[in-house]
Amino acid sequence: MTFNYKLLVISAILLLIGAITPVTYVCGIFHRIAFPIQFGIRGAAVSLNNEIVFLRKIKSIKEELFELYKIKERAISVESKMKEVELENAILREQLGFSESKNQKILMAYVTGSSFGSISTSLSLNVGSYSGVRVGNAVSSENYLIGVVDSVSQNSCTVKLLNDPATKISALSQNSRAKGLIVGNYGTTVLMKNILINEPLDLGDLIITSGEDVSIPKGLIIGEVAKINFKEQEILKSADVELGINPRKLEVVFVLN
Amino acid sequence: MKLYFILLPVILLVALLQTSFLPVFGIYIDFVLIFVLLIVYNTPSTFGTNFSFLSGLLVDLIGSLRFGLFTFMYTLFSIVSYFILNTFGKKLVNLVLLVFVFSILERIFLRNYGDFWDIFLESLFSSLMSLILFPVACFLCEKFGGFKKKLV
Repeated sequence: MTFNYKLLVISAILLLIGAITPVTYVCGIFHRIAFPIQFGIRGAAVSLNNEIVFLRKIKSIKEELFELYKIKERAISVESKMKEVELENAILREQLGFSESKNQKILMAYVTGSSFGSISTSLSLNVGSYSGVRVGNAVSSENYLIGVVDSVSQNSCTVKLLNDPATKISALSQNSRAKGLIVGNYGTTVLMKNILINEPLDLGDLIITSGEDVSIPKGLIIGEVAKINFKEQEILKSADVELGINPRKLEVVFVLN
Repeated sequence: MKLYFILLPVILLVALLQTSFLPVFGIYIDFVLIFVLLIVYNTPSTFGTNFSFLSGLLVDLIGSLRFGLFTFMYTLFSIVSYFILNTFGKKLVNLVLLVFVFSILERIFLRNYGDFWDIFLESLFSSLMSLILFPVACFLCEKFGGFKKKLV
């Protein structure tokens, strides 16, 4: 039997020239055709998954609804307070001669693929270097930090999610201002480590980005403290932070660059 | 030729499903690889290698990884599969083992190292899927390609 080694050589050449501009341009054309289809399929999958989850949780939906009404009432109250604070803040800014920073560009992107579980946790988006996306850009949804752009091609990019073990982001507690480093651990929670033992931190504290990372704006929500881990003899403690948003359900996100 | 027109749209559909549909449900199985190896098992080397090359090309064109990666991987896997099946015999057990080993090797190619047991179980599941999909591949190859089923 003879084997078709010519094809192996051709495929090796394709692999070698795979990153040069004319080839990526041709791929970009196919991506533009495939992305809407992939987005549609993903949307259908998310809807189906939501239906399945809904049917599984139908018993607890009533209790959840009751809780949501309570949260809604609280949110309305907070919103009204916020409006007052915003107004006050605007007046103070005007008096002090400050202006809000508007140099940040926000880019809407559709999620076209995802990889969760043990291998890697990432999302593929339909925007790339053509749209101005750069490695390290923060990706958010509804003021929640989703992850950081890990690799960029012309018309797509891969976002490393918060629960990826390679993710490291400076964060702080909104209430106590305790600082730490967010590190992913594949699950639905992430680890906030390097917190000084004497810094106060409570269960349910909201964890936000500290703004110390150059490309990640301050104040994006990461999640809530679910568990605090410490030993008496150590000078640092850590906390399990439950992520505020489920990346599996995302269809549209925003790249901040 | 008729078989190409039947199989390549199937591969395209499977590739779209495995990149956008199945990950939402937590399923990370390379069904294209399984399908390619099933076709390799049921067809002569010329057809199987060409088919692997074209399947890899399709996956590369719709995927966001480096272009040529899947084309090279599937072509290499098909040539190695033919060599192994010729050396050790065209047995179903060899096919299942090939699916298992190549599923693990694919992770290494794609630098997708994760938890050992997860990779092991997913590869085992891929092997099981190859057994389930085996009759479908046999039917397609026999009906549209005229390649007779050679199950040992």
